[in-house]
Amino acid sequence: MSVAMNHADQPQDSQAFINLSDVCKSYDGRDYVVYDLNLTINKGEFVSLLGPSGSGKTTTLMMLAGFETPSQGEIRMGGKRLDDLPPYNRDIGMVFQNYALFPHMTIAENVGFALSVRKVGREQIKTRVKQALDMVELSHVANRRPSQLSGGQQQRVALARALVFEPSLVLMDEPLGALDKRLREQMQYEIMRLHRELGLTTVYVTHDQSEALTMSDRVAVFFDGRIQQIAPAHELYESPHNAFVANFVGENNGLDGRITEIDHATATLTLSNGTKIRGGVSQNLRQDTPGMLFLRPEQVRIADGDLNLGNRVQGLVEDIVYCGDHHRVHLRLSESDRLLCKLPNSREHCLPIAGSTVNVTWRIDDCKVLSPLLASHQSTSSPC
Amino acid sequence: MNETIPTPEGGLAAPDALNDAERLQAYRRVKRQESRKALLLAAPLLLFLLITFIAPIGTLLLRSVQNPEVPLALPEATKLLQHWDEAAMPDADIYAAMAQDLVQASKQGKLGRVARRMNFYNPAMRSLLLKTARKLKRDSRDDLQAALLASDSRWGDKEIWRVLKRAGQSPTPDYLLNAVDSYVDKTGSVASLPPEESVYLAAFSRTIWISTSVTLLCLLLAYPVAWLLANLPARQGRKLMLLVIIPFWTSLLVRTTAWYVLLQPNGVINSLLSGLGLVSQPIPLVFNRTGVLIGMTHIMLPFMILAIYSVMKGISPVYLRAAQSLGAKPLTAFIRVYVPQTLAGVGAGCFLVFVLSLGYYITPALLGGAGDEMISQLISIQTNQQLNWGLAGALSAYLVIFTAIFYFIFNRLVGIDRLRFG
Repeated sequence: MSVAMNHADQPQDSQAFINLSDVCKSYDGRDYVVYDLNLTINKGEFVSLLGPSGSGKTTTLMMLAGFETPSQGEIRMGGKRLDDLPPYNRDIGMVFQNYALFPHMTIAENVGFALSVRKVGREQIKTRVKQALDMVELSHVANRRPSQLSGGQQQRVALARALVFEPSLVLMDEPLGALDKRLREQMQYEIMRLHRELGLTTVYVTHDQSEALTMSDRVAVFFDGRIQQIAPAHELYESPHNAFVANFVGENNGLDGRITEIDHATATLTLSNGTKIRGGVSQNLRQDTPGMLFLRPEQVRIADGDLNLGNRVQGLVEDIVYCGDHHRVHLRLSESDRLLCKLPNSREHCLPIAGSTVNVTWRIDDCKVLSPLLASHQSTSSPC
Repeated sequence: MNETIPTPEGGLAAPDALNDAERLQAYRRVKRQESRKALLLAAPLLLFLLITFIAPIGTLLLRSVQNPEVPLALPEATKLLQHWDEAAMPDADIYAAMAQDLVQASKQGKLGRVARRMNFYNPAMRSLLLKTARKLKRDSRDDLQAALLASDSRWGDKEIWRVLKRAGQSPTPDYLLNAVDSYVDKTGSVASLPPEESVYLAAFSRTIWISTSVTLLCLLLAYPVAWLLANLPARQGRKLMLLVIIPFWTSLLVRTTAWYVLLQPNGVINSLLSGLGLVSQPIPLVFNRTGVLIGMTHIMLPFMILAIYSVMKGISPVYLRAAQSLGAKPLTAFIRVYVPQTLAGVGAGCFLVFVLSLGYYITPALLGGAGDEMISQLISIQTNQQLNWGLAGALSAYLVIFTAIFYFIFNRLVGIDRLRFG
């Protein structure tokens, strides 16, 4: 798989605040956890590191925080080399996965800890702790212990604690992983609000793609120790650079076939049963090599009558799953090829009947032909 | 967060009050049955504890106030003596009763026990009682007072009668007073023994002092080891843990004897030191306080290590990272974030070691010198050699009280209640 780091995606801004260049990390000198990482983050930017577990995103974060040292390469912040600075001198605030609030201190003491080790005066600590707790709307719990707070409250205290000393960079390591769905969404907005209001520079690690897509200015998709693509959310979703990103971010109909024809804008993918599908061209495509289709399930429409948007195939309706706001229609195109189609749950769309044969259609611009994925990298799809 | 949990008492869907009350009753009945079953399961253990632990200790503690020997053997005289006001000499009735009781007790073979009991008050009493009984049996006079006075002139001494009166009182505070080097003098007030005769107060303070030293030494040595155990990779941690546990499994006597061999004037350590030219003469390491402290610290160390380790194991290393990310240097982070979280373990370890040290017996007996007797050695002497079980009980009672006081203090300081092992 190619390193799909497109330098055109990176703001070539001289004001780049954080700069990781050619960073590698290996624990045994053979296997690299992070390989040849180049990442630039601007001041005030919210960048998410998204990837499955073991993809190197947390290691990258730990190198930024100073708890891991890069084996090669260098990390700069504001033009200053960070590598030689110990964690306590880096001026980086961090929110940990399970909050890591000190259980023997009150909430106020927890938040004030960073100030007290910086020998800030007692009165000033008091006012700044108050401000920080006001910011997360938790001043009323200042004298309680962390164990007396709910998960969401602890999370907000952890935020206040990481922000109270006005760090130049904030790192968050899957901070919402332990919360339930509702609370998680609420906290996402809270974090986005703080990021905006305080003008923070934030690096956010998550394995939850919806979290990354909603919150970030840019998302870096990690896999196998490398950044597969770094781009704003819409670009990542609509125009993935490679098969991994296509399958990992959102859902994808990753049909396999051979690339039989390439002209300057479109490529033709021929499936095993001879069906030809035309789609946009991505990088590194060569004729007569295996290819993979990128097609979002929501782009596929049931073809009423002779409707043809550019691609039209016939399939057997195997199953229809009700998912509240939409139906998922599982189609079988051939022995080996399955196509998933998401139909919005509205009166305009009449549902096909399971067991019947239907025609589906989609636009040529809405799909893309990519270099295929290695066998082990298949995305797992849920029933909904 | 106020979550409402439907409880059986609440009876969420109860249609009326009567139904509610019935339901509550049924719920309580089931609860009662459950707790009865649970108690039944615990019954063998409770019974075992009662028979082997609570009852013997209770009896021993009771002995510290019981005084049955004299009233049992000399019933009439004891009864009459309790009404004697100690101002004048006892009257003829008391003399007569005493003479009769003495003869009776001698015939029934009870006199030996009385003699031994009286010996604790005054060493002269023993011979006086035995001699008088012997002479009285041969005397056929009717005037028993004269006979008693004739057998020994000391029967004319008021002090003898006063002591006999005290010995006839049960329950008595005398053992408890003796255990802190005090007694009731002629005037009936509590007096202390002169310092040169006082034994037990010094032994108590020595015991507390040695226990405190051992506790602090153990803490100093155990804390780093526990930290290492909690932070090493699992494999190495297990190996190190074995090193901690193996001495724990070894017989106490073996370990003490090993120290005895190591610490002798011509033992391993002294030979090594003089061989290296560090000392010209062997340092006295055994039969003194040093020996006691070394031996006891070694034996107590595993308790301290395990208590602290059990708490440290539960502390996530992420706290130290969090502290560092907030700007604390590693040492500051350790002291302000790590150490406070280990206090429960430190408290439990200190309490365990301290309390075990309070009652320590073999090690100080083997490795200590004349000035290192701890209170349990004195209790043992009273129990096994002097057969003064009353005094042994009184000394034990104080030890139990000390332990309770220290438990209270430690609990207040670090909250042992909050500790969980494993």
